[in-house]
Amino acid sequence: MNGGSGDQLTRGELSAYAISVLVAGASTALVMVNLGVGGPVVVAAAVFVMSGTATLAFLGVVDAGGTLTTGFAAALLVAARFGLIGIPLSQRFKGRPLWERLLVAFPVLDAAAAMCFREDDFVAGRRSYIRTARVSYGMWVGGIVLGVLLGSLIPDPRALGMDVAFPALLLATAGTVARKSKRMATTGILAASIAVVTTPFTPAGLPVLLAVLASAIGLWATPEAEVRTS
Amino acid sequence: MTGKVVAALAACVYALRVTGFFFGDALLRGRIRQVIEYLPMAIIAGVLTLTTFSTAGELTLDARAPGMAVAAVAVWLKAPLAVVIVLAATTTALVRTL
Repeated sequence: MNGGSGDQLTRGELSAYAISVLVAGASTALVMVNLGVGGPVVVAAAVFVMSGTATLAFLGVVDAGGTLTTGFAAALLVAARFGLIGIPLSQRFKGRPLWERLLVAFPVLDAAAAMCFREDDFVAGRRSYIRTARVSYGMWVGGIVLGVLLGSLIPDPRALGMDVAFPALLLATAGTVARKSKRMATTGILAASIAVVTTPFTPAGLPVLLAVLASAIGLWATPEAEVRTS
Repeated sequence: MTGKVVAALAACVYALRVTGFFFGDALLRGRIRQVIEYLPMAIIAGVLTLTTFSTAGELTLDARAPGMAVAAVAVWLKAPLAVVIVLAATTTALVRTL
Protein backbone atom coordinates (compact mmCIF):
# COMPACT_ATOMS: atom_id res chain seq x y z
CA MET A 1 0.00 0.00 0.00
CA ASN A 2 1.34 3.39 -0.92
CA GLY A 3 -0.36 6.50 0.42
CA GLY A 4 -0.92 8.47 -2.74
CA SER A 5 -3.04 11.57 -3.14
CA GLY A 6 -6.07 9.27 -3.47
CA ASP A 7 -5.82 8.49 0.25
CA GLN A 8 -6.16 12.13 1.26
CA LEU A 9 -9.04 13.40 3.30
CA THR A 10 -11.81 14.46 0.94
CA ARG A 11 -14.10 17.45 1.38
CA GLY A 12 -17.08 15.10 1.67
CA GLU A 13 -15.48 13.10 4.48
CA LEU A 14 -14.56 16.33 6.26
CA SER A 15 -18.12 17.67 5.98
CA ALA A 16 -19.55 14.42 7.33
CA TYR A 17 -17.03 14.58 10.15
CA ALA A 18 -17.90 18.25 10.82
CA ILE A 19 -21.58 17.40 11.19
CA SER A 20 -20.77 14.54 13.55
CA VAL A 21 -18.58 16.78 15.75
CA LEU A 22 -21.34 19.41 15.77
CA VAL A 23 -23.82 16.72 16.84
CA ALA A 24 -21.38 15.36 19.44
CA GLY A 25 -20.71 18.89 20.78
CA ALA A 26 -24.41 19.68 20.95
CA SER A 27 -25.21 16.42 22.74
CA THR A 28 -22.30 16.89 25.17
CA ALA A 29 -23.55 20.40 25.98
CA LEU A 30 -27.08 19.07 26.47
CA VAL A 31 -25.78 16.41 28.85
CA MET A 32 -23.74 19.03 30.77
CA VAL A 33 -26.66 21.47 31.00
CA ASN A 34 -28.80 18.59 32.25
CA LEU A 35 -26.21 17.95 34.99
CA GLY A 36 -26.70 21.53 36.15
CA VAL A 37 -23.64 23.22 34.67
CA GLY A 38 -24.16 26.88 33.70
CA GLY A 39 -24.14 27.79 30.02
CA PRO A 40 -21.05 30.09 30.13
CA VAL A 41 -19.05 27.40 32.00
CA VAL A 42 -20.05 24.77 29.41
CA VAL A 43 -18.82 27.04 26.60
CA ALA A 44 -15.60 27.94 28.48
CA ALA A 45 -14.86 24.23 28.95
CA ALA A 46 -15.27 23.65 25.19
CA VAL A 47 -13.03 26.61 24.28
CA PHE A 48 -10.21 26.01 26.78
CA VAL A 49 -10.26 22.31 27.66
CA MET A 50 -11.45 20.99 24.29
CA SER A 51 -12.04 17.51 25.59
CA GLY A 52 -15.58 16.22 25.91
CA THR A 53 -14.43 12.96 27.49
CA ALA A 54 -12.30 14.69 30.17
CA THR A 55 -15.06 17.18 30.96
CA LEU A 56 -17.71 14.46 31.06
CA ALA A 57 -15.44 12.19 33.16
CA PHE A 58 -15.18 14.98 35.76
CA LEU A 59 -18.92 15.60 35.74
CA GLY A 60 -19.73 11.87 35.74
CA VAL A 61 -17.68 11.22 38.88
CA VAL A 62 -18.89 14.35 40.70
CA ASP A 63 -22.49 13.58 39.73
CA ALA A 64 -22.10 10.03 41.10
CA GLY A 65 -21.06 11.50 44.46
CA GLY A 66 -17.30 11.72 43.97
CA THR A 67 -15.27 14.64 45.32
CA LEU A 68 -13.81 17.44 43.18
CA THR A 69 -10.41 15.73 43.57
CA THR A 70 -11.57 12.30 42.37
CA GLY A 71 -13.48 13.94 39.54
CA PHE A 72 -10.35 15.82 38.55
CA ALA A 73 -8.25 12.65 38.76
CA ALA A 74 -10.72 10.82 36.51
CA ALA A 75 -10.62 13.69 34.00
CA LEU A 76 -6.81 13.68 33.91
CA LEU A 77 -6.69 9.88 33.62
CA VAL A 78 -9.03 10.11 30.66
CA ALA A 79 -7.04 13.01 29.18
CA ALA A 80 -3.73 11.17 29.63
CA ARG A 81 -4.49 9.53 26.29
CA PHE A 82 -3.86 12.89 24.59
CA GLY A 83 -0.28 12.73 25.84
CA LEU A 84 0.01 9.22 24.43
CA ILE A 85 -1.56 10.19 21.09
CA GLY A 86 0.85 13.14 20.92
CA ILE A 87 3.87 10.84 20.83
CA PRO A 88 3.37 9.34 17.36
CA LEU A 89 1.81 12.62 16.21
CA SER A 90 4.91 14.66 17.15
CA GLN A 91 6.90 12.49 14.72
CA ARG A 92 4.79 13.96 11.92
CA PHE A 93 5.66 17.50 13.10
CA LYS A 94 9.40 16.98 13.63
CA GLY A 95 11.44 20.00 12.54
CA ARG A 96 8.44 22.33 12.41
CA PRO A 97 8.69 25.73 14.20
CA LEU A 98 8.10 25.77 17.98
CA TRP A 99 5.01 28.00 17.78
CA GLU A 100 3.45 25.64 15.27
CA ARG A 101 4.10 22.61 17.46
CA LEU A 102 2.78 24.41 20.58
CA LEU A 103 -0.32 25.31 18.58
CA VAL A 104 -0.95 21.87 17.06
CA ALA A 105 -0.44 20.25 20.48
CA PHE A 106 -3.58 22.04 21.75
CA PRO A 107 -6.17 20.18 19.65
CA VAL A 108 -4.57 16.72 19.99
CA LEU A 109 -7.63 14.49 19.61
CA ASP A 110 -8.43 10.87 18.82
CA ALA A 111 -10.17 11.64 15.52
CA ALA A 112 -7.70 14.25 14.23
CA ALA A 113 -4.78 11.96 15.07
CA ALA A 114 -6.54 9.04 13.34
CA MET A 115 -6.94 11.16 10.19
CA CYS A 116 -3.22 11.99 10.38
CA PHE A 117 -2.11 8.37 10.89
CA ARG A 118 -4.25 7.29 7.94
CA GLU A 119 -1.78 9.06 5.65
CA ASP A 120 1.55 7.36 5.11
CA ASP A 121 3.04 10.59 3.78
CA PHE A 122 4.07 13.04 6.56
CA VAL A 123 3.16 16.24 4.66
CA ALA A 124 -0.27 14.87 3.74
CA GLY A 125 -0.66 13.61 7.32
CA ARG A 126 0.09 17.06 8.76
CA ARG A 127 -2.37 18.68 6.36
CA SER A 128 -5.08 16.15 7.26
CA TYR A 129 -4.40 16.66 10.95
CA ILE A 130 -4.57 20.47 10.80
CA ARG A 131 -7.71 20.43 8.65
CA THR A 132 -9.40 17.92 10.94
CA ALA A 133 -8.27 19.76 14.09
CA ARG A 134 -9.56 23.09 12.75
CA VAL A 135 -12.92 21.55 11.88
CA SER A 136 -12.99 19.72 15.23
CA TYR A 137 -12.40 22.90 17.23
CA GLY A 138 -14.81 25.12 15.28
CA MET A 139 -17.56 22.54 15.15
CA TRP A 140 -17.00 21.43 18.74
CA VAL A 141 -17.37 24.98 20.10
CA GLY A 142 -20.24 25.67 17.67
CA GLY A 143 -21.99 22.45 18.68
CA ILE A 144 -21.53 23.26 22.36
CA VAL A 145 -23.07 26.72 21.90
CA LEU A 146 -25.91 25.13 19.90
CA GLY A 147 -26.40 22.52 22.63
CA VAL A 148 -26.53 25.16 25.37
CA LEU A 149 -29.18 27.05 23.36
CA LEU A 150 -31.12 23.83 22.67
CA GLY A 151 -30.74 22.83 26.31
CA SER A 152 -33.57 25.10 27.31
CA LEU A 153 -35.79 23.62 24.58
CA ILE A 154 -35.06 19.89 24.94
CA PRO A 155 -35.91 18.71 28.43
CA ASP A 156 -34.37 15.24 28.06
CA PRO A 157 -31.61 14.64 25.44
CA ARG A 158 -31.44 11.00 26.53
CA ALA A 159 -34.99 10.50 25.22
CA LEU A 160 -33.61 11.40 21.77
CA GLY A 161 -30.73 8.93 22.24
CA MET A 162 -28.20 11.74 21.99
CA ASP A 163 -25.89 10.20 24.57
CA VAL A 164 -24.81 7.56 22.01
CA ALA A 165 -23.63 10.22 19.55
CA PHE A 166 -20.18 10.31 21.16
CA PRO A 167 -19.46 6.55 21.33
CA ALA A 168 -20.93 6.16 17.83
CA LEU A 169 -18.51 8.81 16.57
CA LEU A 170 -15.61 6.94 18.17
CA LEU A 171 -16.86 3.62 16.77
CA ALA A 172 -16.83 5.03 13.24
CA THR A 173 -13.26 6.29 13.81
CA ALA A 174 -12.22 2.90 15.22
CA GLY A 175 -13.78 1.21 12.19
CA THR A 176 -11.60 3.28 9.85
CA VAL A 177 -8.44 2.50 11.83
CA ALA A 178 -9.36 -1.20 12.20
CA ARG A 179 -9.40 -1.60 8.41
CA LYS A 180 -5.63 -0.95 8.39
CA SER A 181 -4.77 -4.48 9.53
CA LYS A 182 -6.11 -7.54 11.33
CA ARG A 183 -3.73 -6.87 14.20
CA MET A 184 -5.13 -3.35 14.53
CA ALA A 185 -8.69 -4.74 14.72
CA THR A 186 -7.56 -7.30 17.33
CA THR A 187 -6.04 -4.46 19.40
CA GLY A 188 -9.41 -2.71 19.44
CA ILE A 189 -11.31 -5.81 20.53
CA LEU A 190 -8.70 -6.56 23.21
CA ALA A 191 -8.81 -2.97 24.52
CA ALA A 192 -12.61 -3.03 24.67
CA SER A 193 -12.49 -6.34 26.59
CA ILE A 194 -9.96 -4.98 29.10
CA ALA A 195 -12.12 -1.89 29.67
CA VAL A 196 -15.23 -4.00 30.37
CA VAL A 197 -13.47 -6.56 32.60
CA THR A 198 -11.65 -3.96 34.75
CA THR A 199 -14.52 -1.47 35.20
CA PRO A 200 -16.15 -3.21 38.21
CA PHE A 201 -12.83 -3.32 40.11
CA THR A 202 -11.23 0.04 39.38
CA PRO A 203 -12.11 3.72 39.91
CA ALA A 204 -13.67 5.59 36.99
CA GLY A 205 -11.11 6.60 34.42
CA LEU A 206 -8.59 3.85 35.16
CA PRO A 207 -10.10 1.19 32.80
CA VAL A 208 -9.26 3.45 29.84
CA LEU A 209 -5.60 3.54 30.86
CA LEU A 210 -5.61 -0.23 31.43
CA ALA A 211 -7.12 -0.70 27.95
CA VAL A 212 -3.96 0.97 26.63
CA LEU A 213 -2.16 -2.28 27.56
CA ALA A 214 -3.80 -3.85 24.48
CA SER A 215 -1.32 -1.88 22.39
CA ALA A 216 1.38 -4.22 23.78
CA ILE A 217 0.23 -6.37 20.86
CA GLY A 218 2.65 -4.18 18.93
CA LEU A 219 5.53 -6.01 20.66
CA TRP A 220 4.73 -9.03 18.51
CA ALA A 221 4.22 -7.02 15.37
CA THR A 222 6.95 -7.30 12.79
CA PRO A 223 6.71 -4.26 10.52
CA GLU A 224 9.64 -5.56 8.47
CA ALA A 225 7.72 -8.74 7.64
CA GLU A 226 4.66 -6.71 6.66
CA VAL A 227 6.79 -4.62 4.31
CA ARG A 228 8.28 -7.76 2.75
CA THR A 229 4.89 -9.32 2.00
CA SER A 230 3.46 -6.19 0.41
CA MET B 1 -18.38 22.56 37.78
CA THR B 2 -17.12 26.12 38.16
CA GLY B 3 -14.89 28.50 36.20
CA LYS B 4 -11.97 27.58 38.49
CA VAL B 5 -12.39 23.88 37.73
CA VAL B 6 -12.50 24.65 34.00
CA ALA B 7 -9.29 26.76 34.25
CA ALA B 8 -7.45 24.02 36.17
CA LEU B 9 -8.73 21.34 33.80
CA ALA B 10 -7.70 23.41 30.76
CA ALA B 11 -4.16 23.95 32.12
CA CYS B 12 -3.65 20.28 33.05
CA VAL B 13 -5.11 18.87 29.82
CA TYR B 14 -2.93 21.18 27.71
CA ALA B 15 0.10 20.23 29.84
CA LEU B 16 -0.63 16.54 29.14
CA ARG B 17 -0.93 17.21 25.42
CA VAL B 18 2.32 19.23 25.32
CA THR B 19 4.21 16.65 27.41
CA GLY B 20 3.39 13.83 25.04
CA PHE B 21 4.00 15.98 22.00
CA PHE B 22 7.38 17.40 23.05
CA PHE B 23 8.96 14.87 25.38
CA GLY B 24 7.35 11.65 24.18
CA ASP B 25 10.00 11.50 21.48
CA ALA B 26 12.59 10.41 24.06
CA LEU B 27 10.50 7.26 24.64
CA LEU B 28 10.46 6.34 20.97
CA ARG B 29 13.01 3.54 20.93
CA GLY B 30 12.90 0.06 19.39
CA ARG B 31 9.86 -1.98 20.29
CA ILE B 32 8.16 0.90 22.12
CA ARG B 33 7.84 2.56 18.75
CA GLN B 34 5.85 -0.42 17.46
CA VAL B 35 3.60 -0.39 20.52
CA ILE B 36 2.87 3.32 20.01
CA GLU B 37 1.48 2.57 16.55
CA TYR B 38 -1.30 0.63 18.29
CA LEU B 39 -1.96 3.15 21.09
CA PRO B 40 -4.65 5.30 19.43
CA MET B 41 -6.74 2.24 18.53
CA ALA B 42 -6.51 0.83 22.07
CA ILE B 43 -7.56 4.17 23.57
CA ILE B 44 -10.39 4.84 21.14
CA ALA B 45 -11.75 1.30 21.66
CA GLY B 46 -11.49 1.62 25.46
CA VAL B 47 -13.26 4.98 25.57
CA LEU B 48 -16.06 3.99 23.18
CA THR B 49 -16.69 0.78 25.14
CA LEU B 50 -16.94 2.63 28.45
CA THR B 51 -19.15 5.38 27.07
CA THR B 52 -21.45 2.59 25.84
CA PHE B 53 -21.44 0.09 28.68
CA SER B 54 -20.75 2.16 31.78
CA THR B 55 -22.28 4.96 33.80
CA ALA B 56 -20.12 6.78 36.34
CA GLY B 57 -17.67 3.89 36.72
CA GLU B 58 -20.26 1.08 36.90
CA LEU B 59 -21.00 -1.45 34.15
CA THR B 60 -24.48 -0.90 32.74
CA LEU B 61 -26.44 -2.45 29.90
CA ASP B 62 -29.10 -0.06 28.64
CA ALA B 63 -30.61 1.42 25.47
CA ARG B 64 -27.17 2.65 24.35
CA ALA B 65 -26.12 -0.95 23.54
CA PRO B 66 -28.70 -1.60 20.76
CA GLY B 67 -27.91 1.86 19.38
CA MET B 68 -24.24 0.98 19.21
CA ALA B 69 -25.03 -2.44 17.68
CA VAL B 70 -26.84 -0.66 14.84
CA ALA B 71 -23.93 1.80 14.59
CA ALA B 72 -21.51 -1.14 14.31
CA VAL B 73 -23.48 -2.55 11.37
CA ALA B 74 -23.52 0.90 9.73
CA VAL B 75 -19.73 1.22 10.22
CA TRP B 76 -19.30 -2.29 8.80
CA LEU B 77 -21.25 -1.16 5.69
CA LYS B 78 -19.01 1.95 5.49
CA ALA B 79 -21.86 4.39 6.11
CA PRO B 80 -20.90 8.09 6.54
CA LEU B 81 -20.22 9.28 10.11
CA ALA B 82 -23.36 11.44 10.34
CA VAL B 83 -25.51 8.47 9.23
CA VAL B 84 -23.83 6.25 11.84
CA ILE B 85 -24.58 8.77 14.59
CA VAL B 86 -28.19 9.44 13.55
CA LEU B 87 -28.91 5.68 13.29
CA ALA B 88 -27.37 5.04 16.71
CA ALA B 89 -29.28 7.89 18.38
CA THR B 90 -32.57 6.96 16.70
CA THR B 91 -32.26 3.31 17.73
CA THR B 92 -31.44 4.22 21.32
CA ALA B 93 -34.32 6.69 21.44
CA LEU B 94 -36.75 4.08 20.04
CA VAL B 95 -35.60 1.43 22.51
CA ARG B 96 -36.14 3.92 25.36
CA THR B 97 -39.74 4.43 24.32
CA LEU B 98 -40.43 0.68 24.70
